[in-house]
Parts: sequence; C-alpha cells; structure tokens
Amino acid sequence: MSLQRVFFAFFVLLALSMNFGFFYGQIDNAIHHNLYELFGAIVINLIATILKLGERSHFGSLMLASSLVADAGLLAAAMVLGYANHVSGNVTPEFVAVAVSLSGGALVANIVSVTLMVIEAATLRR
Amino acid sequence: MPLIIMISVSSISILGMVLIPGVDASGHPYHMTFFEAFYFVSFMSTTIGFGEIPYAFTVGQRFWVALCIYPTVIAWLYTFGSILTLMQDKAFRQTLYHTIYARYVRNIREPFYLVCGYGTSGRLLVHRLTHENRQCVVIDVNEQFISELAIDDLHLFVPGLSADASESEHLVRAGLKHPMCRAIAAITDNDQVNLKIAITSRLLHPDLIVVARSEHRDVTASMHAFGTHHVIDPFEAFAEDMANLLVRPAHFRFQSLLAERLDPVDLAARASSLRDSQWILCGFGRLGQAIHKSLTAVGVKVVVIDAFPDKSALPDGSIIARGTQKETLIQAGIMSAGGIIAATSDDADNLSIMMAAKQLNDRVFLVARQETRTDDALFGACGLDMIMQPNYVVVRKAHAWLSMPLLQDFSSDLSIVSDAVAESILKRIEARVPVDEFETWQLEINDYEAPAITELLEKGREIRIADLLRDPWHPEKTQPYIALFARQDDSRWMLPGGSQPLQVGMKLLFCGHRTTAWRAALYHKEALNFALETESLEEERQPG
Repeated sequence: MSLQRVFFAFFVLLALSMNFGFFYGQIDNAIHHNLYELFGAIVINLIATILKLGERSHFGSLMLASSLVADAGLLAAAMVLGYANHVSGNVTPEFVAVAVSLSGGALVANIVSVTLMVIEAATLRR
Repeated sequence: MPLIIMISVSSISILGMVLIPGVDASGHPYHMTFFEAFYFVSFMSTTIGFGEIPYAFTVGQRFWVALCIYPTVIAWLYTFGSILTLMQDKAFRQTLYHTIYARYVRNIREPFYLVCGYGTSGRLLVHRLTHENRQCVVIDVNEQFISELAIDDLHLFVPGLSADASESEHLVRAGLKHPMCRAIAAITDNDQVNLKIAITSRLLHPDLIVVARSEHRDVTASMHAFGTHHVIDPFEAFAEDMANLLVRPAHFRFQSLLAERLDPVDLAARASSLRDSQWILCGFGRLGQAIHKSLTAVGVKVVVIDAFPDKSALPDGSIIARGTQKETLIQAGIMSAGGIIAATSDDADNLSIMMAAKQLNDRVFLVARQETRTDDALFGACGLDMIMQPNYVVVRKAHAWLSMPLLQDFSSDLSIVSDAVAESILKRIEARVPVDEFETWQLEINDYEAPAITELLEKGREIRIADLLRDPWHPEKTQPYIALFARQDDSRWMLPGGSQPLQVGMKLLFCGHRTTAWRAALYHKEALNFALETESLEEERQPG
C-alpha cells in the first residue's frame, strides 16, 4: 500500500461525493443545494486535477480530461451563482436550476473519472 | 505540489472570510459572499492589496486576514517560483526548442539543404548557399555554434538545431525525410560522425544526394562502399589540384574559374614553368602523403622532409629533420628547387618554413597549409603563392556539388581531355565572357526553374539553346554567357551548339555573366514568343 495512491484515490472519490452532495435535491430549490458544498467540490476537484497532471499513460490522459471537464462544469456553476447574486441581485430558481444542471454535468465527468480509476486498479497485475 | 499547496491555503482563507461575520456601513451584520472572498484573497495573496472590501473589516475579520496573509503570499510566491524554474529548466527549454525547430522544418515548402556541422566549413557553406537564395537547415552538436548561427548575418533565416547529428532521430527532426530535402552535407570535423550521417541518409532517404567529408582513407572507402555520392577528402583534392597546377595548367585554371571565379593565369604559368625542377615537401602526414603520391605520379621530383616520421614509411632520399631550420632546407636543395610545400599540421611551423625558404631563395614557389582561419592575416602577409586551407577545399567542393550537380559530370568529362583541348575551350570562353564577372550556374528545364520555356515546349514549339543565349528584346545582341554542358538522361553534350534543341527535363550548365536577359528568357513567355517569332521571320526573309 502506498500513501500516494491513498491520497490520490481519496481526492478523486471525495470530488465525486462532494459533487453529488451539491447536485442532489430538487433542481430549482436553493435550500437543497448548499453553497459551501459547491465551494468544497470546486477545491477538491482542482486538487484532483493537479494530482492527475504529469501522468503519461493513456489512462492518465483520459482521467485528466474528465477531471478538466468536471472543473469546467463546477466553475461555470459557481459563476452562474455569483452572477445571480452580484450582478442580477437576486438568486431566482432559474439560476439555481442552471447551476445545478451544470454541476450535474460535472458529476458525470467525475463518475467517468472514478470508473477509470477503478478499471485501472482492476487491470493491475499482481 | 506547489499548486496543491496554493489551492489548499487559498481555499481555507476564502472559507474563513466567508464564515467570519462582518458589519456593513450601517452596522448590520454582514457575511461576505464567495465571490467577494475569492476576489479579496486573490489580491491579498498576490500582494496587490486593494484594501478591505466591500466594507471595512471588523477586528475578527482582521485577525483572520493577519493569519492568512503570510501563508497565502508564501504559497503564491512558491508557485510562481516553481513555474519560473520550470521555464528556465534546460531540458524543458530544449524540448520546447526542438519542437519549434521540427515544426519549422516540417513547414518548409521549398527545396532545402541539410548541413551537418556548423564549424568553419559549415558556416562558409551555409553563407554561400544562402547567398544564392538556397534554404539551409543546420545541425551541430556544439551549442555555441548554433547560437552563433542566430547572430550571423545570413541572407535567409536558417534554423539551427544543437544535437548530435550521428543520431538518426535528430537528423529526421532536421528534415532528413522531408520530401523537399534536396541534399545533405556531412561536413563535421569528425569522420566517424560524417560516416554515420552518410549511412543514415542512404538508409532513410535513398534519393538524397549525400556529400560527405572524410580525411581518412578507410572512412572514404566505406563511404564509397554504400554509395555516398560525393566524398570530399580535402587532402586528396588539394593534391590533385597541385598536380594539375604543375602539369595541366589549363585544367587547373578551368577548375578554379568554375569553382571560385578566380583566374590564376600567372600562377599557373609560373608553376608549370617549374615542373622540371625539384620540389621540397615538408611534413609527411596525410596531406604530405597525398601530395607526394600525386606529384610523383605525374613525374615531378619531390624531396620529403619530416621530423617525426611515425608510422608512415618515408620515401628514399628523405631528410629526417625539422623543415624550419635553414640547414635542412639547404640540404634539401632549396637553392635550386622549383617550389616548397609546407604541409605540416602546425600553422606556426608552416609559416616559419615559408619565411626561411623565402630568405634563402626568393624565386621559389611557396605553398603552405593553413589550419585555423584566425591565421588569415599572417598567411596573407607572408606573400605565398598558394595557401591550402582544408576547410576551404571542402566548402568549395561541397558547394559546387550541392548547387550544381551537373558540374560533377562536366568535370569528369573535362578531366579526360588533354590540356591543349582544355586550353582551347578556355580560350573560347574567354572570347565571349568577361573573366572578372565569371559565374557558373545550372538550369533544369522544368516548371519551377524555366516556366516560360517549359510551357512553350509542351505546346510543341521548338526552342534551341541559342534562344537562351539572346536577349528576347534585342535578339541581335549576344549575351556574355555560354552553355558549357548539357545533359538529358544519359546523353551528354560538351559545349553544346546553339542549334541543340531543348527538351523538358534537360539539365544545362552555363557560365559567364548572368544578365537580365537571362531571366526574361526563362520567365517571360511573351518575350520568348516574340524572340522566336522574329527569328523565324528573319529565316524566311533570308532566302528571298
């Protein structure tokens, strides 16, 4: 068992679970979607992305790509909410629905990422 | 790692800023939004510091900020420093440069020449080629030479790669397999590297013309063995020139006119008058041996002086001593000698031999070998008759072969004729061509080099060599250049007559002074047409 692998798997899985935590709930109801959870999802996703940098294998590049997709989705969701709050001045259910569906997209990418990680672990010869 | 630290530290700071309550302007409790916190932490960690927004902070907030400033700033500087280090990392920069270089070479859309080795000879060769608007690509293992390439005042931009040319991977990156690569010149100062380059090119791009430098007989032999087109041994080449100078002066003049645009008429006359006297050869290394062999082959008497005859067996009657001493030179018969050749590998020795010989006998023909280019001034001041610079010999040959492959055919056809015939050809050229503006160039009748002629030929018009030798606008004026040689597949014509019809794919060698009329005939369809019309009109008129 290597500490580095634990670290890596921890962040990749945490990114998925945080992402899901934010996504889960009624799509346009702001109460079901905690802002702090989105913040955490973004930070963990960014860290997971950086951990995947520098991998040269085929799996590594796929995982990096999926991670970048998740980052893009979550950052877009955060920007939508920021826009709603500061520019438009009012967080309407429409804005919440857009942000949550964006995070749903990111969730799919995160699922792919975790699946890839599992596949890689399964194909590892012992 | 620095990125992870930066993200963690910033996110903790942002979270703290959001959680800690503040007050707005009117004293009501206020929580920062994530956006405001992100904005604040961004300018705090980058040390820009716009101030406390959106409202002045409470003591609690300031306490948190005071805690956060140091870690965030340090994390930011750490990240920034790591990025800068990466940018300056030698391996990283080299990889980046190699990629850019390879992309540039891949995008070349004109014929180009790959020159391996950018030492003295490589530099001279690239100068000559770019001066004629020929694109070059350079590869040299020495990084300093490549950085000098960037400073050198060249006619065209020449990409240079500092990598070991003996590795095929680097040669491929430099465009070895590129369809527009015309020829490769392996002229590094290392024979083994040249050999490896020649082998690589023959295997990876068999159509390529390969010109390689070799100073050792066994390397020359193996280069010939797998079909290197042109092997240049500067010593052998010079020895051959030397023999020509003594016994076939017209050939010597012809060759130097073609290759260097110089007409050494006095030199050749003087040297050939000395052919029956004895010659002294100082130094019996590779050059000395080559000269000895070629001079004795044409019947010139040679006395050898060498201080350290190591492995090579000196010929009979040789003197084992240093040529720099006057006694030795007198013993070798300098007083009655026709000429003296200083062929040691040491410039200072060669110079002092020359000075000593000159003092003893001021009519003697002086030939010296010069190894380093920085000694130009010294050798120039010495008043020598001939200077042998290995690098120049290599460049002259390589340049001729790269830019005018036809010159090789011409030279080999010329070399079998007698000196009297060469003399008469030379006379014919001199009658038409001003020697001080002499130039030699090659033309292939194709779309690229002669579009107007190719088009008219394909329409079935008959064009003859004479039509190339006239100004289309002033057909009555003869131009100061002539056709030296023509070749179509296996047929060769020495000094082809004006009535010789041109064909697509024919290669011609011209010499003389290239005037504007030359361009008109090649590119200007109307001009050429006009010239052909007037010519046929005149022909019709004459019988009547």
